[in-house]
Amino acid sequence: MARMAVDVAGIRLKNPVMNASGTFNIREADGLIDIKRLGAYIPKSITLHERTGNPVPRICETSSGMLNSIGLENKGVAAFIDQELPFLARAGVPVIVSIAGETIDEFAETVAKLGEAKHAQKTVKAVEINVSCPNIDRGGVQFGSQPEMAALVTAEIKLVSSFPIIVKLTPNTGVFVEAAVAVEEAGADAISLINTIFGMSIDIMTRKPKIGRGYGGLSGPAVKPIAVKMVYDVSRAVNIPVIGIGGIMNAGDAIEFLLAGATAVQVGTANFVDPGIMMKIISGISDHLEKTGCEDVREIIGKVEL
Amino acid sequence: MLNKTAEIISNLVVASGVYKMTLSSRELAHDSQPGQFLHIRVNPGNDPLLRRPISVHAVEDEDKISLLYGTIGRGTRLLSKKKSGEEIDVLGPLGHGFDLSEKPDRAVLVAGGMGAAPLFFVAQRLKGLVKESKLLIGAKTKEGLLSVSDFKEIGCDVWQTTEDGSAGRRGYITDLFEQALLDQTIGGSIRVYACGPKEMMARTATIAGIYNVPCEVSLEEKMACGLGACLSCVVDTIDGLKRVCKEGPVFRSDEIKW
Repeated sequence: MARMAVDVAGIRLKNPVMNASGTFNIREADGLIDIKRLGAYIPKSITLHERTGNPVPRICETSSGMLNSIGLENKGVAAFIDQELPFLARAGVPVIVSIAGETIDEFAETVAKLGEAKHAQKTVKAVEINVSCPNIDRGGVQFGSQPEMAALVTAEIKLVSSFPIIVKLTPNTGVFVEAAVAVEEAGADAISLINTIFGMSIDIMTRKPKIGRGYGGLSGPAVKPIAVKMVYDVSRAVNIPVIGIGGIMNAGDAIEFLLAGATAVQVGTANFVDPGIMMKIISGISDHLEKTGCEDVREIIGKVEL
Repeated sequence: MLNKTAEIISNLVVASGVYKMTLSSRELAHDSQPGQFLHIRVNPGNDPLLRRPISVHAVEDEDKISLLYGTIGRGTRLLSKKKSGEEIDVLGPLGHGFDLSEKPDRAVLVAGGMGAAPLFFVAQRLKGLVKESKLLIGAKTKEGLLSVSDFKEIGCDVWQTTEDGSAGRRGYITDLFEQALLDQTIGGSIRVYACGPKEMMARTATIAGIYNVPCEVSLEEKMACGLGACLSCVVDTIDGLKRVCKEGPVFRSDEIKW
């Protein structure tokens, strides 16, 4: 058996596979997967205060992909600490908490509140800073698409955070490499990308957008080549680990991201299609390593041959 | 396991753009409750990508269930092309169904269009346990009145409306609802089970509220995971947002903010 462990943001993961935030809920996963086999688990993004999210329809299918505009519906950090953290503390899986916000203060306060929570220090291994949500009016893509702003958010959170920081970047900018370099300089411990790509779909009979908010974020296999290229570019520009995200549907897709330079991967949309897929991806990576004579998954990271 | 493959026994057109698919699965026949749905992967691979939620129409016998679905988009059109003997990937049964723990003396089923699909399963389960099952069924045209002979066969008293007057009374099915509640040929307690277009269910909910009759509605919303993870299919209720796939698809009608 090839060794599957990787180190990301100072955390040792038993394998490089985790879910993308908002695509998998371990509370609803009873019998569908063995949670303990996951490299890490990332709950849906939390914010300082409760958010009710965007109007329905919140999703629509597109060619080999989907648009979503959930709008960060969540009950807020206090409810997360009360209701979710005790459960997560017993789940037997490293937890990375995704944090979103509309202002720098909101991000920082949420991280600080989480840090003070009873179970947090032993349960939460890192925070993922979501400065890339396309479905909110402020603090998402608006932060992540500007390198200076992304760096400022990272630096301010770094000041109050007792956790390693992963910054989740957006593809909706021409300066994503600059943003990656800027957040590294500001103290990020790892980078994850890509969040979803702005997209729109229109019903030709009603002439209305198929998403309640008018537009949303595109995910699924349709975005994978874009994501692989971005991970390739960013992993060559920074010295911190990169987590690859974008349309991973199977082990082969995950291996592509590793070869492109990702140290770990997140599986998103595929969980909606096959809730057991992450287990198959973990086994599939292991089988591939064995078949290709690799003893350690780290042997293939960044090893794309040009 | 929720995730399983089931063999298609038959997949037949029953009306224009409406198909009935019968699946072989002892587990699904045993576990499914009226109002629950199956989340169906139409094809392996990436197209269509997402599953399609389809409510259980009937338990045919101890190892067969059926689904009644309309070909409303690409996914359901592809589903309608499936042949008997093929296997499909199914997640389910999912969701919270109708509450049949309390049996009324009179069950009033209010169906609009495809809404007849899950209500047949309700009628099946209530057969022999209630004094009367009345089906109020409405559609645009006569051809849209689905499964009427099946409902009659299990003893339902059927009242019909069509928007064009091609069968039953001309108008909307909610026009008959008040009359059905007031019909005291058979007395006793009443419960209402409704499924159909949102406006129809909202009207049904209002009237049920006026007469103080317990009423449940089965809602529909675009969903991705079907498991309560993605928060796509939310509905606003008096207790805040709830997930159609998890807390629903069946809700008490007085819970919904119409």
